[in-house]
Amino acid sequence: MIQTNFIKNALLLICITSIAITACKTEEPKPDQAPENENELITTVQLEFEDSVTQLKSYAVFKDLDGDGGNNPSHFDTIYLDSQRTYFTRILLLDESKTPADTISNEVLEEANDHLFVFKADGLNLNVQILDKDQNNLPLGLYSRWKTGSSGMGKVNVTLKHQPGLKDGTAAPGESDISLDFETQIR
Amino acid sequence: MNSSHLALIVPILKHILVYIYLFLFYCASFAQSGNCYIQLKGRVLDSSDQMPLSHTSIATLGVKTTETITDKDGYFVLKNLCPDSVEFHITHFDYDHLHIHLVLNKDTSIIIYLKHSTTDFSGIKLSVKQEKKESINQLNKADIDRTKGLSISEVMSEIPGVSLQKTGSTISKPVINGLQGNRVLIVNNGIRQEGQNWGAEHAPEIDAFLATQIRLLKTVEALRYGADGIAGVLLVGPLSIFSYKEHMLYGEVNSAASSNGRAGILNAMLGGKTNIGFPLYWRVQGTLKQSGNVKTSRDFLANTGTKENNYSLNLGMQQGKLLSEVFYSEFHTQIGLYLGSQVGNITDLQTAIQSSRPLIQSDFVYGVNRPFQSVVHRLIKIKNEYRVNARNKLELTLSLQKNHREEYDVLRSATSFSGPSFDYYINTNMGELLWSRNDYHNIRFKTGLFGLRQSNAYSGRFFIPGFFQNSIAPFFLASKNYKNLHLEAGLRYDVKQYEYYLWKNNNLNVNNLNYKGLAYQVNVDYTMQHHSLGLAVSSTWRPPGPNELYANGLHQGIASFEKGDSGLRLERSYSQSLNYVYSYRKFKIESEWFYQYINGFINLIPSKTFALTVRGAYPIFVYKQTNAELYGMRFKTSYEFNKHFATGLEYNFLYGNDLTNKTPLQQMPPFNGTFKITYTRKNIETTLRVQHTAEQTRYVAESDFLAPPPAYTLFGLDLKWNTRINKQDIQIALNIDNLGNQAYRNYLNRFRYFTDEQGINFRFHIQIPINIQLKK
Repeated sequence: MIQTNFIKNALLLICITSIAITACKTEEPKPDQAPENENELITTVQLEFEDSVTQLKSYAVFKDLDGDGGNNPSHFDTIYLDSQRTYFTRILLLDESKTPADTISNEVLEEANDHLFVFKADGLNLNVQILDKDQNNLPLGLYSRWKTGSSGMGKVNVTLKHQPGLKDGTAAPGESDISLDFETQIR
Repeated sequence: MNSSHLALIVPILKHILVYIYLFLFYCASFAQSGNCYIQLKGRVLDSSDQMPLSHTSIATLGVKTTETITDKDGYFVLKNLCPDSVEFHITHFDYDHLHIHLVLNKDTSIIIYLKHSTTDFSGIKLSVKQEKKESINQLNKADIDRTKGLSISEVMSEIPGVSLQKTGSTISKPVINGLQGNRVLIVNNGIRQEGQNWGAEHAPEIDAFLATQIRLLKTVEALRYGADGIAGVLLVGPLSIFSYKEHMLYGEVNSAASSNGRAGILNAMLGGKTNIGFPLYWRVQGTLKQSGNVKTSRDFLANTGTKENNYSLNLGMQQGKLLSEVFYSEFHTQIGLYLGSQVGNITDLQTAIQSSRPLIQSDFVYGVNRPFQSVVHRLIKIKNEYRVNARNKLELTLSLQKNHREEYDVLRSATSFSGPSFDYYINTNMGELLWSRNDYHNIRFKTGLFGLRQSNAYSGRFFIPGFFQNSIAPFFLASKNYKNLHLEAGLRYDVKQYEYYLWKNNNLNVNNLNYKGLAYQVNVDYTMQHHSLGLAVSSTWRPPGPNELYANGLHQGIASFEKGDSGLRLERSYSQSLNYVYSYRKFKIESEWFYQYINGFINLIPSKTFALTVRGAYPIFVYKQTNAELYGMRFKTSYEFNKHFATGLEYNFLYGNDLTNKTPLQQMPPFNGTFKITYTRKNIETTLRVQHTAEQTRYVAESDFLAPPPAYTLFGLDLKWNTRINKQDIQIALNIDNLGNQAYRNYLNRFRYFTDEQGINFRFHIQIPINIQLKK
């Protein structure tokens, strides 16, 4: 009698606990299924240079389709500019890991108050001035003017700082979303 | 003619082991002579609480063997004994065996007190005496009381030789003798803790309030839980519910608050034994915890709040020889990571390192924002124990653990998406069948079969691939006492099979990896009156972890690129240790020297090459196998001057060498020691703590962005007051950590590049134990 009572209670207990376990089952991925990835990447950075006189366009592209790690970047172009010229430079950022590709530079523009491009020329006779501004009248950098001097070889570092709530027009605060050293030749 | 004699049999003590004691008296009644008509009646009781012990075997040894078993009230009768000097052998599963000689010449009654087993290598059950015997490996009540409200890892680090690997102020993991990660095996409530153990910033998902017993397992029992505890096995868990007695309610209410982080903690536990046709043991328990931004000696650290809520339910039933137990627990936590730690690239990291103050200013707030982790851990355990007889016991333990870890990085754009940057689901089913026999030619043994099936899957950003793991392992453990010697030996053979699923551009690559190997341990302990000497020799192994094989990505917090190596072999450790305990009256010394050689030690070392990403170039660190050695010492001593003053000192030091590259091993904890002095007056206990950590001078300069921080000395003060209010016991404690509000950095904190450690912290704690006698 006690024995059957015991078994009944034991079964009940197992039932309750197994319900408790199954009730909290959510949609789980499985190891053998392709993992989803909604994270956004910046796979492509394109600099477009428009010669102020000839209005001819030239491009320099960095492209790493699989993001950090994996394969090496497929493109990392050298910037070729002519000496004693003025160029209007536009930056296009894409996430080409998705189809269709996502235009990240549009998001940067929408959140202009939190972003800042910083340009640093190393070993070059080059002057860069940011032309666009955010709502607080601080520089943004998607659009800039590059004035070249005499010819030479060097590097231009293009950095995008993400400065949510921290932007003061300087490069210091926030974290770097982009930091690329483009080999540059002024001819 | 009835006459009674009272006898105290003390000399027997000397013939059995020191920690067995027997208090026995017998009354003689009828004098008999010649034939075998003598009757021996008696009762067997627990020496500590005088509770009757059922299922105890009482057997005569000699030409003619007679045996009987005690009933549920501990009574037994042996009939037809001959008038002679008779040797009896008394055995109970959980108690030390007893041999006694009785000179029988008339019917006799005796009461036998059995001492709860201390030589038993069973996990958590320990008597007070055992606690005194090896306090270097486990925490006493004072240590546990002082750390109430802290995380489980912080509590564990009170054991000499256990240090903390920290990620900021909110995440810590135990490190044993310098070894970390997958090499540390944590056994929670008798079950291997299975989360994303490989990650340095993945803290153990255990409610510290439930783990009232914490022990660094040094016996061969460690092999029961796995061969992969190369660093050691940490055993944590609550007291067994089967110790509850009827008509009593047991429980505890804890309430704690701390000034730094303005944390509030509430914990309650209630349990008892109810008779519903059969005895039902039960316990419910829950904890709520919240804290906000932590403060260093000068600055609040942005986004360093945490939230935690846990509960557990434990039911047990006893029906004759069958003991059944169900345990269910849920652990939920949200942990904020210091906002300034999410650096985009090396330039950002260098900027952070060069600044002595946090780059991101903050005030005190409670909320947890990105970057943060959110983790849920669930455990269900079903255990059945069948006591076949006084000598044999069978146990079947089944468990399921579900661990879901989400990590939320800072987003580049607020509009991009709201989910976690990546999340992991690891599910683990385990089973163990165990046969214990407590008396086979004076040998206790346990033998069993362990099985595990695990699946690990992820979504979001890649760091480690998904996998299935199947393992099976038979094991055999034995122990024997021979005069002053205690011998233990254990063997375990593991077969592990992994299936890794690697996706590249929607193409699947399945890697099958198989490992098998033997692990063993032998312990010899020699105990004299005031001294005890022990020697332990063991060899254990572990397969490479998923990160060591396949990691390929950025560690944002430390601005480095980690690369796995799919060709790694298993890692095998050979270790020897010698321990010596001296105890004389109020003076005690415990020490352990150890040497460990690890073949194929998997080490993260700089490759001196860079990975180019859109955020710039990162130094690449690769997992490489080397041969390594670790040696060092753990030491603890205590002395009670009188009933008011007591003092204690503990320290440990450690050396680690990479023998292949002839360099020191990285991330080894430097020398550290703690001195305590306690003054007790009436119900108030006051302790002053001085803790010194040296500077780590052994490191490889080019493998780190920053040299190890300088040495520091911290002071702490603890006040504990035990009182009674309206017949209710109450314990009130105030603990002050970092009394001098010193600014210091910790070598084993991965965020030491960014911030100082916590400043002064006042912790206040009220503990109300519940012991209610119910009406019968």
